[in-house]
Amino acid sequence: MNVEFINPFLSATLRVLKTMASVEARPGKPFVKKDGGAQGDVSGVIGITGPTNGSMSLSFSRNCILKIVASMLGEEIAEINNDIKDAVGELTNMISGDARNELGQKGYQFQIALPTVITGLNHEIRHKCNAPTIAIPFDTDAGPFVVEVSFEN
Amino acid sequence: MLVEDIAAIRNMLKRHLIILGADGQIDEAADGLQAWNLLQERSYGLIIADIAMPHMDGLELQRRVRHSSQHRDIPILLISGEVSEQTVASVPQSKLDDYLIKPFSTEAFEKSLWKMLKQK
Repeated sequence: MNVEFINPFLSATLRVLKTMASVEARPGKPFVKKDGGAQGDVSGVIGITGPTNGSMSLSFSRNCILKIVASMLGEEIAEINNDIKDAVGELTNMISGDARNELGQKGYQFQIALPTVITGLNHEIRHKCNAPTIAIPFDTDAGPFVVEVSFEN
Repeated sequence: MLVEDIAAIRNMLKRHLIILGADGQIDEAADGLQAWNLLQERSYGLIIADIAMPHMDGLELQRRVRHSSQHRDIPILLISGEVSEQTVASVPQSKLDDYLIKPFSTEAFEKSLWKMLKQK
């Protein structure tokens, strides 16, 4: 996978969470993911097509997403409900859209599909290609989340 | 009026408006159809609407407002997660229309609002 494709997703994640949810996220060291298991309790996945095909996912721990969306909504949320799922879908959409714009400025024109949201303990994230998946862990005051990016070679 | 199907984003936009000093009533609608129904009861100084929404999208709401003798002078700020050429081409129906691509900063939001309110 072209490593140039990773950084736009990292910077888009920081930018979207800061501007749209007032959340300061701290990126950790990216690693190659070995299995399909999600790192969190609720995930958004989106397909990306263009010069090469792939997908991006965003996987939040329960506490992290409950606190982030509660802060956006201005009210406490006790469980992963439709407001949470909608917000995860929208965050997935905005992060991939923002990364797509940055990739476009580098000369890579991609299209993004509609996001899918998956919830449940030990759910799996199926990326759209069989290439290695790069996972970027993030930490926030509300808890951890992980962004995964996978593109065909 | 704020028209956005994602409750968390709708509330975030409302907070932006309050931070920027918006006073008076800020009505909320979860899609274009709800917004259009509210417009049958009263008028608004400004409409901020997402483009991608179920039932009626922001572009159809904009089209109806511009064809309405009662509401055609309401400025409409459309917001979108997409920066496609189709979006850019279809938004400006009049000087009263503008658009912002999500994510946007409070400063960009404020700048667009002032630009639109000056056009009114």
